[in-house]
Amino acid sequence: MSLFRIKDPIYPDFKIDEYKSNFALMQSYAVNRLRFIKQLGLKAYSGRFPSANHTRYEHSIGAMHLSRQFCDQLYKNTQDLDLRGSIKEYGPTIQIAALLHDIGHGPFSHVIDDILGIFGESHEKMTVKIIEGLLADDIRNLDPSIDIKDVCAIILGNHSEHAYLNDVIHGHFDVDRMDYLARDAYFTATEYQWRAYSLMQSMKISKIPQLTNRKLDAMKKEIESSRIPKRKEIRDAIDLVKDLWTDHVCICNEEGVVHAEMMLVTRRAMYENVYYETSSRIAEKMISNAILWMIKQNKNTKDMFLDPRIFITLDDFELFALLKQSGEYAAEIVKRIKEGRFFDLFVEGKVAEVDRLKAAVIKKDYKEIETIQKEIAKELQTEPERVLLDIIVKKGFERNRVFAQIGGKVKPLEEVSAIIEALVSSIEKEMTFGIYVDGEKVKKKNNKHKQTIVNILGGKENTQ
Amino acid sequence: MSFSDAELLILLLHNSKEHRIKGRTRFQKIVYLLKNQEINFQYEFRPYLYGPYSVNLKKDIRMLTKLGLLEEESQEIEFDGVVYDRYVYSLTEEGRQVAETEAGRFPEISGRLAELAADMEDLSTGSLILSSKYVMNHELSQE
Repeated sequence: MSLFRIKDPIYPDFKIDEYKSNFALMQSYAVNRLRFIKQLGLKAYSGRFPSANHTRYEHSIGAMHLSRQFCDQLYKNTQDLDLRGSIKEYGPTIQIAALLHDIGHGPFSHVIDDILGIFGESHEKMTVKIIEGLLADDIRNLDPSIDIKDVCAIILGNHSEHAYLNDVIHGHFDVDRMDYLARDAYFTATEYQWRAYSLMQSMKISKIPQLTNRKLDAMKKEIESSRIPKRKEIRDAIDLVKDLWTDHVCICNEEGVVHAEMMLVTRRAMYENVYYETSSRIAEKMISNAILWMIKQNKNTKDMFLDPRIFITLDDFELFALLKQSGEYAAEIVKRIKEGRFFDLFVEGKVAEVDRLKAAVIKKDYKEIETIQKEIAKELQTEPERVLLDIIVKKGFERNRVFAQIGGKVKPLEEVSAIIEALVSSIEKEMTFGIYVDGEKVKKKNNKHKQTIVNILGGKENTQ
Repeated sequence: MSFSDAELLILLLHNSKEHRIKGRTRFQKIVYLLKNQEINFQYEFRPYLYGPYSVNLKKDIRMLTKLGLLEEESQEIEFDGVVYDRYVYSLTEEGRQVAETEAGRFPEISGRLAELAADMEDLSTGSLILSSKYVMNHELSQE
């Protein structure tokens, strides 16, 4: 293995030797399983992106590789000696966290996220369960000095000692996002020639300027005379508190701002053209509906998605087999995905304009959403599972989350760059919904039916 | 009786002074401190630059704004000679109607929120950040 070189289209070749210490982990079952989970879910099986066949495994290796380079750059660019010491100390932990950050993803990545969400779980929680329950010994064997708790905290972004650690994998310009944007853009031909490495070269760890003593004293008085609980302890601890979580990753020169702009332009293109593409969205909704159908038929299958020991045996292919085995509707859906016979988009609109659906979304009332789906099916004289109701929330870019230090002053990125300011405003999107119906079973599909559906959702007359 | 987080946010604004909360950071810290006083928010917070921060809370605020129940207004404020943008959140007419119905149905929780929100009213955002940092640090060190 010593001369083994990883070939990756996104980065120049790198030697596996550089990651010798992690090699055993890279070969472990839990990590290797990611080779069988497509990064972009069903994108490769539908629509315009037949090349989107890359997997979570290559993304994880890529993130690990980037995290090492990121730490090197941060070390080089940061002046504070304590912080430099901490980068050295946490370097190996960060690499392991980057390698394992997606280990809790299930078949077709985000399809299973929806299912986990309904049961109050998420892939992040699953990641922690798998690391703590199944990989803890492996990690200890690699390097006894690595604390499992640190690995999990860095992945979840709640490390309490240093805030910059939370920015490395769970931030806004983190190695996870840098790798998946570059990789997804490459495999979906949405590329804008943006490279993570150039951005990292201009990043460092910075400290937020501390409060002056005069201001601190004023705040102490304010807190003491207030009625909030623990006010006395807070007042006494303020001198300690003012130093906490003030270090963070930040962009430190103008060239970095240009690379950040390019990354965000790529991100916008990905969100507009790829991540929410309708046909793959329909395919994903079909699969998740088939899973819910399967769980309803056989309650035992629910545990497969909740018990980490069974969960890590699942991948894209196993899920297809499982659904096929369940027969009837689930098997039919798998067959239709394979034959490219998807449901059709029938009605779409803004959630804000349909009151009943809006109320259900605010209340997070999954039962009501199911009832609405049933009523629509009844109206179209078909079975409930032939109608899918999809609620689409597009992610935006936040203000005040990424900072740049230019000319000695730390400022939010959107204040430094007019392009980013414009992007922040344009990425904001309405919350929308889509009704997908099985065109092979539902024959009633004219404008009159569209209007009835809008009425069921709580829309006013002629909102279409 | 159970509430979704979004409904609790509407009730919180309803019971805040002038039905508004000034600043996103302030909004985050208030909800964090309320969660620590037995108001049943489900949000998970993590330490961030200005103290505890929850992504899902941000998402819910944005959702309610998009759905027309909250109004987001940008305001310029000056601090230490630097001008910053601040977002002021208030209930829209529709939001107020929803809030009044909910407050009528659940007077107990609504009253408790009013009490706790009033406790925090006089504190500056800076003090709220320091207080919530302390509480979070305390919480994390207990684990």
